[in-house]
Amino acid sequence: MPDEPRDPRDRADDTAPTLAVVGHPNKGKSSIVATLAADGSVAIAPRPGTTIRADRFPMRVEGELLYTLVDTPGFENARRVLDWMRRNDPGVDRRHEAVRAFIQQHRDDPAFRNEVELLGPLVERDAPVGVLYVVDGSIPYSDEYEAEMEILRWAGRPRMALINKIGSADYTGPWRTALDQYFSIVRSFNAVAAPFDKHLELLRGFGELREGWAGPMRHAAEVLETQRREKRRTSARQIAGMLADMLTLTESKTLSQGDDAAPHKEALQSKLRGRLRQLERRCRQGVEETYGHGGLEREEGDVESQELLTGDLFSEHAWVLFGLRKKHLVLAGAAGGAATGGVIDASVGAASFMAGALVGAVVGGGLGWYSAGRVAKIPTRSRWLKGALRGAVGGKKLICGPIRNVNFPFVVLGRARYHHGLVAGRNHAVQGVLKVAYDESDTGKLNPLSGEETRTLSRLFAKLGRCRPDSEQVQPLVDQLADRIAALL
Amino acid sequence: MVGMPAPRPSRVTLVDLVALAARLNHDEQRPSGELVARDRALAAELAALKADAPVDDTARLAWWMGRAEDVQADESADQVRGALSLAGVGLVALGLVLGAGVALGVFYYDGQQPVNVVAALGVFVFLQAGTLLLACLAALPARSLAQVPGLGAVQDVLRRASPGRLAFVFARFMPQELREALASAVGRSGAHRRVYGRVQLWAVLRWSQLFAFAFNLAAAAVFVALVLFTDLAFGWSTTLSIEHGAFHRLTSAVSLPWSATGYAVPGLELVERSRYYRGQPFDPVERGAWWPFVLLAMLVYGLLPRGVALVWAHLALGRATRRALLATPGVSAVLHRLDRPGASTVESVGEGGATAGQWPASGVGDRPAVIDWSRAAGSAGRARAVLGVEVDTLLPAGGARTPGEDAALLEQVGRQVADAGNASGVVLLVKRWEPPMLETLEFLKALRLAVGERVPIWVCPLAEDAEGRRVSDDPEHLSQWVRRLRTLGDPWLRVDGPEEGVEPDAG
Repeated sequence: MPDEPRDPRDRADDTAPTLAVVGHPNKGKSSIVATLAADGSVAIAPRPGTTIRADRFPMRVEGELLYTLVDTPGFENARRVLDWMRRNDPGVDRRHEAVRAFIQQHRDDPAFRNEVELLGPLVERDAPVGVLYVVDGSIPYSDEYEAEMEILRWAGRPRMALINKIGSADYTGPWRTALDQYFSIVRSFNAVAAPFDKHLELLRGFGELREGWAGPMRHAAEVLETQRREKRRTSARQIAGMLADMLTLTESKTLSQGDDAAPHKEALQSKLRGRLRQLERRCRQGVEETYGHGGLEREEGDVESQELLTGDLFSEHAWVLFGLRKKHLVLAGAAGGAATGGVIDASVGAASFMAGALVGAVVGGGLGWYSAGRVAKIPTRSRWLKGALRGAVGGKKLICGPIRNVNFPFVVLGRARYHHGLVAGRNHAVQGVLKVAYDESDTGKLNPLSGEETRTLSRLFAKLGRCRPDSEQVQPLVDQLADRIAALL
Repeated sequence: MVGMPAPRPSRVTLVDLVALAARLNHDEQRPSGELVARDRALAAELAALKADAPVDDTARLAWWMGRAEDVQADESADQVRGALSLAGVGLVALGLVLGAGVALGVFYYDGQQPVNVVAALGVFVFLQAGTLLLACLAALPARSLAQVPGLGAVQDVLRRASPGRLAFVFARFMPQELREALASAVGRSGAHRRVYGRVQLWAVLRWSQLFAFAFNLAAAAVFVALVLFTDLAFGWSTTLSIEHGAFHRLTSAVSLPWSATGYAVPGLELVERSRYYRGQPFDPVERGAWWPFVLLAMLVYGLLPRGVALVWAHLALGRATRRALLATPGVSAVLHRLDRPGASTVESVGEGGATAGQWPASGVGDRPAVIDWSRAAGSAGRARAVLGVEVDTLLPAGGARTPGEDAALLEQVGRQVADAGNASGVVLLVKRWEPPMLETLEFLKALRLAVGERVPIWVCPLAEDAEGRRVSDDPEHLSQWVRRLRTLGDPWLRVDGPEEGVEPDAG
């Protein structure tokens, strides 16, 4: 049977770089792997000895293997390993064989279990493996690391040192001096706090490690950058969809003739608020899943920041934090009102000489002024039932919503932007709850918008507010809104 | 108020051991300065006794236990005393009841079938001899047991086949917390075994001999009573095709210890005439001639060896208890404090340094061997400042040194400690911010072998670097040392910084 042509992606699998992340115990190796492999399943703990096996974490995007990271346990007995290898030195040109021989002879020796695990990936024949040696730049350099670095030199693989500063102290200088003697490339990289562009920068740095890796690593960085943009667009679509649902959402109840509407009104408003909160929750989950952080719990740092994530959408504090300022509200109200008035003008064939738009702008601006800092009230109205239904039930239909408050969509958008920022900026090395550290100086900066952005968004919000939920006009508006939001994320 | 009465050094019991352990446990919770003040006062009192002062360590410790007040420890000791008495009485009662019951069963005679001598020998001679042999084997130290031909190999096979080994295989797939908990439990149990293992063994053997002695006593007594007050008839019967001659040789062998007297030795004719078969009539005439043989067999192979074994176990328990008393972690610190009435060898060195009480509380002596692991202190001056004690030479280990250099250092430390005598210990200075690694643990194991058991080793994780800059503020750094070193199961190893007080075996 003739050989079938191979999928180019399979060929990429053969040549995709593999990086074994090695080092002393508890220096952040797993954190580096989690961040660069964007994999939250990597076991990370502040205690040493969490990783006891060499585990591979392939970085694939749409089936294409970009690179593989190997998380390894820390060195536990490096001096004895080096001692053995020195006693069995086959010569400088064959020292990597001493590493291989060491592994073969000590495979079942519990004293060298970690070393066998971590050196294993380095001696795989014909595999493009590089070494990423991780140290903690927040503790002083010590000569006990020398044996480890010497062993890695014997392994004969291209290697890079990463200074991962876990604590606040800075001993980077002495570390760099020591590492420069053993590694051709030394970089600083904080696995927990490094922003995404630093990840890409590091990936491109891996390309310098070995001839032929520059292309694949540059390609990997490009693919990840594209993927990142796509995630942002997906999140924007999720937020825009949520806003559209919220702005058109109503709750209704049919009342029989003579039924008092007052007791039902509050229940209906409460139900509507509940559904709005649910929409927000669902959107957040969607964003978190988009960035591979599904199932996050949220936790605020102090009382001041209680409204940032877990606070209620309808609390006054949330509206102060995320709502527009008075000036912008007037602008937004005016833009929305003008858009609404414009519809009237259009419907009379401009015979009104744009009076509708003018009046709408004035009324909208006034409403914007009025609504500054106020939590939205949910409008409730009743309507007589029509036709057969009226005959059968008699009575009215009580309708609650949609919310017309000018500030409401901006509050929702502000919260969504803030949440997105936290999720998108969160490295996979960070595990546990999603923490919010609120700074007093953040007030008013949580949802920054220019005047132009405010006006554009207001118009879109106003148009969406006039649509029925099942209307065909909704989707194009959502697409437009998503484009605008994507630019803001 | 004065504590419990001082135990007599020659008669140290399990209760004293418990009282001491409880006392030292409570001392762990108290500020070291308080302990130093208390024991220095007692040391002065001891010095005042002059010629009447106890001389050896056991006697001094016993005297200290009588003087150092600890109501809670005394209450614990009283509870243990009560529990031990109850257990002893219970075992004796159980032995008596079972012995009498078994004897009534074996010597049951209703005129239909005679008492089977084979059954009597089986229960009161061979079973007794067999269980006694097992007890003797159990009493042998593991090293001696391995020397017994065949047993070493059996031990090895049992060890390899033990399902307990699987726990360590499974542990590799467990979450880290469970792995650590398992290693810690094994270590703790190992530490306990090293101090109290022989005591536990001899206590169990003494109880088992107490039970067996009561069993044999009751059986012999019941037998005598049956002989005196009923008319027993004996015969022998077995499914095995044993000839009369063979059974006679067996009874002759059993009666060998008293055969010189010519009394109670069954002759071939009696053996021939006494054989009976189930369902066939038998002649009970003269078959009562067996009872002196049976009684002597019960006494010589049952009661007497059990009595000897009981006395042996009792004496051995006393010896093991006295040894364990001195090996109890913390005792060396007490003795060290008692040796120094009123004088302080330590000065407070301020922040981060040893407090006035911490050094004597560590129990490592005035001039311990101080090992600097991976240049944690960097210089003798820094070690002196941190520990607050004179450091003549700082012994370098770990770091960039080779394992061979470390081995040579261990030999040197072993000699140094041996030359210094009982009062000397070892301090290992390490960096608190670096996690304890397997090579450090292996070094500590080798150190223990080099200095011998009971010599206190103080692992002191320093929070500052060699220049005195604070590097570690995270309490987890010290905890990780305590947790990992606990897995060593070394009861005489202590882990704490100059300002803390935690032992790996505590809590």
